[in-house]
Amino acid sequence: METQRCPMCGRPNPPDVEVCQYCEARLKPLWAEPSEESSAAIEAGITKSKPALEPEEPLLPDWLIASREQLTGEEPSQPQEAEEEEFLLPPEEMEINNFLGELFSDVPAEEKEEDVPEWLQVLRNEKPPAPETSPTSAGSEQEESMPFWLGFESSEPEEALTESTSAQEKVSPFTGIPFEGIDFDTDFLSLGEKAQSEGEAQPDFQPSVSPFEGVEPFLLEEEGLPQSPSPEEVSLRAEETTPPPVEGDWMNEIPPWLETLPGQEWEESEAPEKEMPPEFLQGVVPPFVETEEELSEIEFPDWLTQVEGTIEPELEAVIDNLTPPTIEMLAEQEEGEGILPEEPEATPPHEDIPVEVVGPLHGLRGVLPAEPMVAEQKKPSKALSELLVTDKQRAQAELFLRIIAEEGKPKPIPTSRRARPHTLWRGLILLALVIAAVIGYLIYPFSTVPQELSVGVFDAMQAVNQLPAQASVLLIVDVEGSDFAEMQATTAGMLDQMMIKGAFFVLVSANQNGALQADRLLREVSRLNGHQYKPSSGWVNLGYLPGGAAGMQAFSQSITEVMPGTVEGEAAWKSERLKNIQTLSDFDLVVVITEDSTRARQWIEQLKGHVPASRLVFAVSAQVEPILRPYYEANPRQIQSVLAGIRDGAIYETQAARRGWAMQLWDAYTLVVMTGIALILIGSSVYTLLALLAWRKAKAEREGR
Amino acid sequence: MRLSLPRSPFSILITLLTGLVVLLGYFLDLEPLGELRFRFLQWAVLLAAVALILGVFNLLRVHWGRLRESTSKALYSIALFGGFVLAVLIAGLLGVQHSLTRAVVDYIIVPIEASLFVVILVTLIYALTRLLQNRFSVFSIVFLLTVVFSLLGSIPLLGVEIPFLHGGDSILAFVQRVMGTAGVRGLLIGVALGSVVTGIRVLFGLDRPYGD
Repeated sequence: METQRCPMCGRPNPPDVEVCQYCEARLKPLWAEPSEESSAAIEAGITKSKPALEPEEPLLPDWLIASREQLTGEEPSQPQEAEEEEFLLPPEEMEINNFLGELFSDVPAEEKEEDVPEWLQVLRNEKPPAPETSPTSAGSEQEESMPFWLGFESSEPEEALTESTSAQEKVSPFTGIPFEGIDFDTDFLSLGEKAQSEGEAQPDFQPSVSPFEGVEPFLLEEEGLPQSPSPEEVSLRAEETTPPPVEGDWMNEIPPWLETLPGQEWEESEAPEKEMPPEFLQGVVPPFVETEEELSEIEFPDWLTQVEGTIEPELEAVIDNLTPPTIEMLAEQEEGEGILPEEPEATPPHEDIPVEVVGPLHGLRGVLPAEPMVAEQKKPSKALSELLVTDKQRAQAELFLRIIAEEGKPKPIPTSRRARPHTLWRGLILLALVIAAVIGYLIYPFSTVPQELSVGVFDAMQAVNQLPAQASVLLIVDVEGSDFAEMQATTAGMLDQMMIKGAFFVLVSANQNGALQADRLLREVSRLNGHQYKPSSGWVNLGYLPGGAAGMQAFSQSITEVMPGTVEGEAAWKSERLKNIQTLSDFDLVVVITEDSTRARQWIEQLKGHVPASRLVFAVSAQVEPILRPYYEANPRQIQSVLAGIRDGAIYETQAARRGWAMQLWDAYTLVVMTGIALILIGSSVYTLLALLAWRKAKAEREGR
Repeated sequence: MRLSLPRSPFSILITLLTGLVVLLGYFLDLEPLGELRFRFLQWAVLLAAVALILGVFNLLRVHWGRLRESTSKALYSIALFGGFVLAVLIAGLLGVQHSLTRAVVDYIIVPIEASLFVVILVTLIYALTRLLQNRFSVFSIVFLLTVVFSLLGSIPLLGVEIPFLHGGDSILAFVQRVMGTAGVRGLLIGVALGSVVTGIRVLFGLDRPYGD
């Protein structure tokens, strides 16, 4: 939703309201939006637009610019700028500027002939140039350019108008040659001595006798010169220039003192070929000069030389230290602010000017809306926005820029330190292991079997030995095909002892392949040890028990309900050998055969409480033994025994005096393990040496050797 | 703790009720509670069996999609379909005790799995030989020495028994029985605590492994 923001308080307001809801400031001006035309009408008489400024032009007073230009020999400034200065400055300041500019100017008098004031023209006894326009038109123009309170003076006689018209060409009184012919050194010194002798107090820089003594003081008053008359001039003015009171139309009458001016005769006479001081100034003021050489020959009074000598260095120092905004900057700023039109448009009719209806100006017509001026966004000055950067900050900035530039550059991907796979070495390892296994299996017997009877083997043998004849044994077989050889070697001696006692096996597995592996295990043990065990007569396979731990828990609670049939689809618990089996505790022995530590732990946890610990035996892989050892070494024991790996199987067979599958694999197993150890030691040594050599090589490269 | 409401409140209600019944039936020796607990477990076994069958069909569906897309792995899918059909026909029609079924187990399944195990053995030995080259650190050296001494202690070296490696009073036996057992006990305690926490979270609906 569009909103308009109050220019006074800055808060948003709906777009259709005219005054701010918060501060009641007018949001929409009484006039239309301050377009170029309307803004020109509003600001007419307030601000005068300037023409496009020349670039790199410093903001300096005209008299200083003129002085610089004369020193550098450049052309003087454009007359238009002078007109602007006249427009912007009041007449008094303009006169002072002209006076100062001329005071420090070295321009010859000829170049400033047009600026010779009227009084100086009178002094020069020259005739002012005839106006191009008629006095009436000139007077009308003067009336237009003057305020109303100056319009009363414009109603003077035509002579005065002529004088005023000619007096528009102004010049500083000292740039003329009023001192020509005066020997300031001698005259001023003599006058000074005379004044001191008379006991008159005079300022140090001012001569005791004014060089303009005898000049009619009205000229100074009329031109508004910034000179204070001396007491002598005041007294002289009081005696000679005080006009008598006139009655009637005094504005149209020329006062007697004006008629007696010597300029009246000058005005009528032709312009002299050479400007000469008037008669009353002969010997007092120096003769007028026309060329620069003549001006340079003039010797100014000491006080003026001292003043000029003290002011000029100070001005030059100030100018040198001053860094004014250039005109280009001002031009840019004006472009941002909008250039006002030069010519204002006509004021709208009185009826069209709206009346203020709100606020303290209620009822007033033609109130200037302040919002466009106040809310005008101005750019900050360029000179103020420039940063003052030190060398240290600049160095830091350059460093920061370099860092940013380096971040953007692509970096090479570091080469991986991981060594490439060595296929040949892998092949050698495989070949060595296969050769060791073959040699160990073929060379019979190769090594001695450990004779030490471990605690786990002893407990397992005791549990098997305590089995009654025709015992019922539950075999939980969770074996994968990859570990079948190890598990067969581990359990072969124990199963052989059970078969010898005529045990009847019930097979179950929590593994999908376990049922097939269990069936194969019994077949292999029976075949290797010469038994005649067959399915149905020697064992029943209940198959796969799904559900994981939940299935184990359910199986532990009721084996008959959870696993009612065999993998052949027959009723498992209705056979003659199993008719007395209702729960797990009815089995004479429960043997868990697994190579998975998780499965082993789950079986221990789920069978606990359903099977006496004295009838629970685990035959596991060597890697599972550490997991079961806490259960086995607990007090009281949670399991009867743990047979772990080929080693315990070989020990069991050795203790049972039955050479079985473990004894056949023992030699191959021993030789393969020894080969593996040798490969590990040799390979580790070689690769470590290569790594050290590579490290030394890299270190040498880093050191540049 | 951020709680998110399940899409169906019945699933969490069923989980809460069944879990509490099974848990209470484990601690309380009450006949009706025990019977109810057993029924729930039976249902879980049946559902797990059905889930296994569904998993098999899902596996076939995925490979059927690969066959239709004729991707580069279509050959494996063809092998899977062939093996599945063969196993179903042989074991399902002929039975587990049939000689052909035994032959499939003896000459296909077990040798393949055993060969994969040998590959693992070769890979482990190869990795051990290059362990110090890739990561030469104190822990790498300790790990390598532990493996070597454990293997040496597991077998007799041509009938020669090293005193500190073989025997019940050897250093290796001490490491296996004391240090190994201590570490495993810590692991088991952590597993037990984790199981309790997981069970409680499932019972209270904070964890929903069955989905929303």
